[in-house]
Amino acid sequence: MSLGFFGRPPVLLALSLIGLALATGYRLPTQSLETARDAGDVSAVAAQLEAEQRRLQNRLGELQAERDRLRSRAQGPQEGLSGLLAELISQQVLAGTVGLTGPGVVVVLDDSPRRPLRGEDPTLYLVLDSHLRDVVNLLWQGGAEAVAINGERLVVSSSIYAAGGTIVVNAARLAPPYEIVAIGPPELETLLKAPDRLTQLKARVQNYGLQFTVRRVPEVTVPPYKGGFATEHLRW
Amino acid sequence: MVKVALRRPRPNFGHVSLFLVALLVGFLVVTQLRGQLAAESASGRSQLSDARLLADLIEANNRLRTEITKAEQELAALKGNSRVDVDTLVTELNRLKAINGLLEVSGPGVEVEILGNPEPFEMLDLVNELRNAGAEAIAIGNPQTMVRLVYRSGIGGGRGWILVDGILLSGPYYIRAIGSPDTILKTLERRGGLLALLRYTHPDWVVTVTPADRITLPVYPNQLSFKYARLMQ
Repeated sequence: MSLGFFGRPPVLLALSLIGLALATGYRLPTQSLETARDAGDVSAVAAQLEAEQRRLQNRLGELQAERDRLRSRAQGPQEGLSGLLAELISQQVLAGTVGLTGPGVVVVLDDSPRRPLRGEDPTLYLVLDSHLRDVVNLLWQGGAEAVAINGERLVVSSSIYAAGGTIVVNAARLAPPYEIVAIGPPELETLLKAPDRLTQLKARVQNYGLQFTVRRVPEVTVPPYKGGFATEHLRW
Repeated sequence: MVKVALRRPRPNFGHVSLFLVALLVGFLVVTQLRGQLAAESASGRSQLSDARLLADLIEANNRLRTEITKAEQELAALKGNSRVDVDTLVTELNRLKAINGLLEVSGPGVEVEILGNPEPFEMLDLVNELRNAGAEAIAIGNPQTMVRLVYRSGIGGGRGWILVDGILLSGPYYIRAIGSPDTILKTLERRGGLLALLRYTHPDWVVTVTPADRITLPVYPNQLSFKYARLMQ
């Protein structure tokens, strides 16, 4: 049987090259073994630090509860203390170390269920840190009084950034779906849904199937911030 | 006269197909290279953000330890004489007011000057990066007005006009932050970082970061009240 055109030497060579490209190029791991091992180490170290963080947060919570109990017990006999303690609580509320409840909105963002087409940037189908920042910024602009993402209360020092495929808020790694709860005016819902707001996010919803829902709720709970504040460089 | 016969090459099925095959090979090789470059760049980014995550976790745990020590000391004092030490309370109150933007604060830090017309999201990203670099207090403004940022500060407006909590700001813009000047400077100026991106996207802008031994930030100008939120029972 003659191979005809496919049997010609240059064509055979080209076909071999394609075979080589397919065999090597498309099966090359995207990460070298060393990088993968490093990534494993990072994840293990991060998990250890996170476990330590939970232990410290629980310890701090217990100490603060006991301290507040003893302080309020001393309130009666000590003159002028109640005013000071009330002021302290109002500052704790502003700092975000106290849980709050009230009417507001629940916003849910999730990655697209669609798979990226070959050669397409896969991040087009993912919720990005910038999407969360934009939503939170709009909530504050609309008069939100307290906001949390997946249970992480946003405080004055909170940043939202991407690390190793997850989004980090208050040194906590969050995974999708991202649920943003906000206490604030009912107009927050209209603001978030307005076509001229969050245009980049809404374009991803439209074109790539990102999930974005906004629901007004009569009552939401925003948990307290469990971390500490850095003030080593601040003088007042 | 020599007549040159211009011979049109005869179409050759083999050559045409070989050309197509070569094109395909080229395409495959380029795709593969692009893929590798993207993977390398992504893994570079991810290593950078991994380091950032670990640093963030270590700092967060250190902050918790500091808070725990303070709480333990106060608790020991409370148990000792069952009286609240008013001085301790006032110190804590003032610290919280400073954190909340209700006291004027000063300290070492950096000043970021932006000679350009940023969009609100670019200012927001800069503030996020400063917080990420451990800034303890931040204000945005121009030579006339500085607006201290609080937890619920929102940045709006459009290109060339920035609204911070309803206060209209025009350029040149300044962002002042208190914190470790060295850490903030390194975070902002790192290769492939936010400032590099801003300078690349807007080559006509001048963005400078200057460390300073002492920066002073004003009190937040607006009222911070709660109309909808109540204490959790």
